[in-house]
Amino acid sequence: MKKALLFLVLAMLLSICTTAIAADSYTIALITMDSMDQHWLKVKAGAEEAVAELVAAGNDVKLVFDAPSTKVDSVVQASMVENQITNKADAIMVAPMDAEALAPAIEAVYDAGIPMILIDTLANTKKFQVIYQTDNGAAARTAAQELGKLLGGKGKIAIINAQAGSQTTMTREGDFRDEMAKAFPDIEIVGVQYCDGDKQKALNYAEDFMMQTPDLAGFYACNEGSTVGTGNAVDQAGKAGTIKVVGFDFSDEVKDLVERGVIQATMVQNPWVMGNEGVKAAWKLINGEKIADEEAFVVDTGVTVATKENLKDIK
Amino acid sequence: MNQAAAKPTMNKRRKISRQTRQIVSTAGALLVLAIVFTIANPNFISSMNILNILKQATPIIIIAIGQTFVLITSGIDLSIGSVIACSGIVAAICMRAGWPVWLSMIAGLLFGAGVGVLNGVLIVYGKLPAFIATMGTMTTIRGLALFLTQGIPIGSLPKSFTQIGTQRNWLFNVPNQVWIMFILAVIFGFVLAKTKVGRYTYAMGSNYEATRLSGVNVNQTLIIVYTISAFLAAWAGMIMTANVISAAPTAGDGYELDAVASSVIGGASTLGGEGIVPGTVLGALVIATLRNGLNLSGASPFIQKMIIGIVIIGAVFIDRFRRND
Amino acid sequence: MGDLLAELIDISKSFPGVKALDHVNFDLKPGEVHALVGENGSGKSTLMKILSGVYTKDEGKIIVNGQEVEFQNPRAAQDMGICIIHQELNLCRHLSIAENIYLGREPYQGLFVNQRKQIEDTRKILKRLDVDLDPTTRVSELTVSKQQMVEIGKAISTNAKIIIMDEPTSALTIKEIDELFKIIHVLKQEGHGIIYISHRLDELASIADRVTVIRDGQHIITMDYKDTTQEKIIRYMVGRELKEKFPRIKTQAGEIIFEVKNLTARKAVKNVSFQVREGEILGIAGLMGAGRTETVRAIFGADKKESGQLFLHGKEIHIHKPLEAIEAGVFCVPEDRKRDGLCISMPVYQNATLPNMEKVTVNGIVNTRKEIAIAEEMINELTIKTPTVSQTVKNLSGGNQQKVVVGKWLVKPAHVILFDEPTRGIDVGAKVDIYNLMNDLKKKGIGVAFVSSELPEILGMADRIVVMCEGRVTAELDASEASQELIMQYATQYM
Repeated sequence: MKKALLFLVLAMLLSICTTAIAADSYTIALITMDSMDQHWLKVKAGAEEAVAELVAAGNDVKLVFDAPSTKVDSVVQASMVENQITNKADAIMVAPMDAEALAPAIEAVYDAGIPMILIDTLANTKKFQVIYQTDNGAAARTAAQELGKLLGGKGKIAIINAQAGSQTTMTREGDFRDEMAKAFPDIEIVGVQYCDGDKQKALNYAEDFMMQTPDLAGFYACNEGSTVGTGNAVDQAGKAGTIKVVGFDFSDEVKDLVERGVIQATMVQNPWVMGNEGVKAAWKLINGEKIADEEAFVVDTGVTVATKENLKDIK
Repeated sequence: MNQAAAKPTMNKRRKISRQTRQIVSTAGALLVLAIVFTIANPNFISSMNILNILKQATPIIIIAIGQTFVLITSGIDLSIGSVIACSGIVAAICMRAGWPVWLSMIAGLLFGAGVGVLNGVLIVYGKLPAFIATMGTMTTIRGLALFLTQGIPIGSLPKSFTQIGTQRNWLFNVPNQVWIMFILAVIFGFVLAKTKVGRYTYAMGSNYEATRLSGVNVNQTLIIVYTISAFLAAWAGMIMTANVISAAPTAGDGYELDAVASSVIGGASTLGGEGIVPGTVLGALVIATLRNGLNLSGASPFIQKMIIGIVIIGAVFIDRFRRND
Repeated sequence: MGDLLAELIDISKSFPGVKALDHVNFDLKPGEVHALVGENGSGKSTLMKILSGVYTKDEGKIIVNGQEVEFQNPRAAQDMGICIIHQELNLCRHLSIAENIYLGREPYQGLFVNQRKQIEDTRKILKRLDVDLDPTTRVSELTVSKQQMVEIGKAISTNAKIIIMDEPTSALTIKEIDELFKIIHVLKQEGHGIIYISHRLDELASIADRVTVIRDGQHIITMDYKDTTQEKIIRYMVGRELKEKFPRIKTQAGEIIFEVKNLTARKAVKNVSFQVREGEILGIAGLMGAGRTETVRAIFGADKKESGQLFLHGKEIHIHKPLEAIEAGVFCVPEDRKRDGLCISMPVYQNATLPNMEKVTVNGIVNTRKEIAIAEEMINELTIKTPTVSQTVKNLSGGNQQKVVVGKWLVKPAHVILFDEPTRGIDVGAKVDIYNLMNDLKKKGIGVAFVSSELPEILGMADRIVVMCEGRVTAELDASEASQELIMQYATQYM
C-alpha cells in the first residue's frame, strides 16, 4: 500500500519533470485574486481566447492559471508568483491582491528578466512593463455621477463595500466619496459596511442601513457580491425603485436585478479585455517587442455603465 | 474525595438552575443589548427590525445547533461553511436541471447529511481527530463547490424556491426561514434533551470510555452527531441560497466559527459535556443583535469587529469564572 | 522530641450547605509519623488542604514552628516548609528526575541552567533516600513507586519539614510499599514530620507513631499507635461496631455458570482459563501487572481477544465489544471508576440508566420520570448517600461513586458480574456495603468474580482463588487452603 503510494508520487513527479523539460513551448502564467469571482473568470476567458488565437497561428503557447482559494491571503498569492519564476514561465500576468505584499514578488519577476504584466490592480512598484486595468477611480466617479443624477442631487445614501484593505475596493469607495462631495454636496453618506464579498452579509448590512436610516435614498455597492446582496435586500424590503442602487461589476444575478428594476446602474468593467490584451502584450514581450516607450505603462480598459436600456449589449 | 459537597445541600435546585441559569443569563445579556441599542436608535425595537434580526440570525442559529451537538461530544465541525455552499449548489444544479424544488432541496439536504456521515466515519473508523477530519472535508467540499460551479455562482432559481427564505408568512408576518429555523430548533432541542441519542451525546462528552463500557454504541452515535451537524448546515445552505437567489461557491466561508462562538456564548464548552439548544439559539441571537445594533447605531465597522471579539471572550470568561467559584 | 512542627487549633471550615470541619485539632512533632484516618467525606482531605494552603480556614489558628500563620495560597505554605504529596502524582513525564526535582528552582550560572549542579544535587538527595536512580532518567521511564520517590525527593529538596502523604501506597506493590516505608524511616530520623493519610489501616502498624481519627468533620481522638488496635481505630472511624470486616456467607457451590477457556489477549493475558460457579465468589489475585485487569477487560470486550472461548451456562458466547457482553448478561465494574466507570459531570440518575436506556425509552425518547424511579430504587437498595438523584456524580464521595458504578449493572438481569478492584480508595463502611452486595449476588445465583490487590480482602471474601502471574494462571486455590504466603508464592512464581 505504502509502496504503491510512493510509486504513484514518483510517477507523478516524473511526469511533471518530463513535461517541463520536453515542452519546448512558451508558458504564460496568469495569477488572479481568486478563482471564483466571475470577474476573474472573464479575465481568464479573455486570456484563453488570446492564447487559442496564438496556437491557431502555429505557436506553441500555453496558459497556466492559478489563484488563492480565498480572497484574503496575499502571502499565498506572492508564493504563487514566486513559484512561476521557479517554473521558468516565459511571461507572468498578476492581479495583485495587496499592493505592498505583492511588490517584492513582482520585482523578482522583473529582475529575473521575465516579462511582467499587471492586471486589474497596481502594486507598489514600477518594475513591470504594462498594466491593463480599469481606472477604478474614474469608474467610481462615474458611479457617483450616476447615483447623484438618479437622486436628483439630494438625499441620504449608504455604501456596501467588499474588503477593507484591498486597494481596488478602497479606491472605489474613496473616489466615489470625493466625487459626491464635489458634485452633489447635498447628498449625505450615512455610513459604510464591509461584507467581504459575502452576499448574505451584504444583504444583512443593507437591511440594517434601511432600518437605521428610514429615509435612505440610495445604495452604492462596490463589487459583485455586495451588489447582489444589496439588490436583494432592497427588493425584499419592497423598496425596489424607491431606493436607488448603483453597483459594480456584472453577473447573471446582477443582470437579473437590473432587468427587474432593482438596480438602476452598474459599472461593468472589461475584464475579458484585460486578459486578452494581457496575453497579447505578453507574447509581444516574449518576442522582444515593446509595448510602449516607457516601462510601467498604464492602459485603461474602461467601464461601461449598464442600465436596463443597454442591458442587451453587455456581454 | 470531595468530602465537602457529599453532604446534604440544595443540589436539586442547583442542577436544574444550571441550565435555566445559562438561559436566563444569556437572555439577560440580550435584554441589556436591546435596551442599550434602543436608546441609541429607537428604530431598533421596531417589529420590522426585530424580524430582521431573527432573519439575519437564522442561518447561524441553524448551524450553531448542529455545532452544539458536536461540541458536547468534545469534537468540532469545521466543514459547516463548505457544506453550506456545496449543498446550496447541489440543490441549485438540480433545479436548473429541471427537478422540482422539493426534490432538489432533498438532494441538497441529503448531500449535506452525506458529508456528515463521511466526517463521522473518518473520525470513528479512520481514527482521525475531529479537527483534522473536518478540516480536510472543509477544504475538499469547498473545492467540490468550486468545481461544480467552475467558480461561477448559479442564479436564476425558481421563485417557489426563493420563497422559502424571504416570503413573509401569514402568521405575524414572519419570513418563512425564521419558521424553518424555529421548527429545526424545536426538533433538535428535543433530540438533544429528551432522546437516547441526546443522552449518549452528553455521556460521550462527559466520559467517552465509560460510555463505551456501558454498552453504548459510541461509533454510531458519533456518526449521527456529525450527520446532524452537516444536515443542519445544509438547511442553512438552502436558506442562504434562497435569500440571495444565488448559490455561490464562496458562501458560508468562516461561518463555522460563528457557530462555535454562538454555542459557547450559549453555554456549550469546547471541552465537551455541556451545552443546550435554547442557550445556543440565544447565543446566536446575542451575536446577531450585537451586529445589527452596532450597525444601527452607526458604529465604525472596524470597531464592530473588535467589540464582537471582546464579547465572545468576555462571555466565556464570565462563565468560567462563575463556574469555578 | 521538643517543640511541635505544626499545630492546628480549632479549625472550622464550611462549604455552601456543609460544615466540612468543626473545631478540629491536630498537631505534628518532628521525627514522627502521624496517621490521619477517617472515612471518605470525613474531612481529612479538607484539613490537609487547609494546612497546605489550598483552602483558607474559616476559624481557628495554624501555628507552624511556633509562629501563627495565615496561608493565602499553596505557595505560602510551601515557603513555610509544608509539602503535600498527592495520590495523583504531579510530575512532568517527559523531563528527567533532576529537572523535575528542580522545576521552577533551577540553579543558574549566568543565563543558563547549571546542569551539572542540578544533577549533582539530585544525586545527593537520592542518596539520602537510599534510592538507586540516575538523575538524568526520564520520569516517564519510572514505575509509579519510583515516581513517588522523585516526589519525595522534590519535597526534601525544598527543605520541607512537614510532608503530607495522601494515600501514598494505593498504587504500589507490597515490595514497593516496603521501599517507601524505608524512606519514611529515613525522613523520620532526619527530623521531618510526616502526616500520613491512608485507608489501609494494616499499614499503619509498621510506621505510625500516633493516629488521629476524624469523623463527620469532627476530631474524634488522637492516640499513640502502640496503645490501640485496628479494631478500635475502625470503631472510632465508623462510629459503630463493624461486626465483621469481611462478612462472608456460606453457601453451597453449585454448577458452573461461566467459563473462560484458554483466553489470550495482547501480551498481557496468556492462555487463561477459569470457571465461575453458582453460589460462590471467585477471587482473582496477583501483583500489579499480572494481567488480571487485562483479563477482565478482554472478557468484557473492552479490549481485543486473540483467542479463547467463553461459555455461559455451557453455551459458547462470542463477545467482541462491551455491548455484546452486556446483551449476554456479563457485566463489568471497572478498576478505575473515574476513567472507565462514570460520566462524572452527569447526575446520578443519568449514570444509573446509561446502560439501561432500553428500560426508560420508548421509540428513542427518554422518560425521565422512569429514570428517576430506577435511580431512586438503586439509591435505597445500595444506601447511596446523595441528597437527590439529580446530584452530579462528581460531588459524591468515592464509596458512593463506586456504588453508582455497581448499581447501574443491577438494573437488568445479570448472569455474571466481574468486579475489578471494587473497593479501591473507598472507606471501610462502603467496603462492607460492597461486600454485602457481592454476597447478595452470590445468594441469588449470579456469578461473581473479583480482582483485588489486597490479600486480606481476597482471603476474606473469595470462596475460590485464582492466582495470576505474568499473564498466566499459576494456581487455583480453595479458600480453606489459601494463605497470604501461599498466594504470594504463586503470584511471584515467574519472578
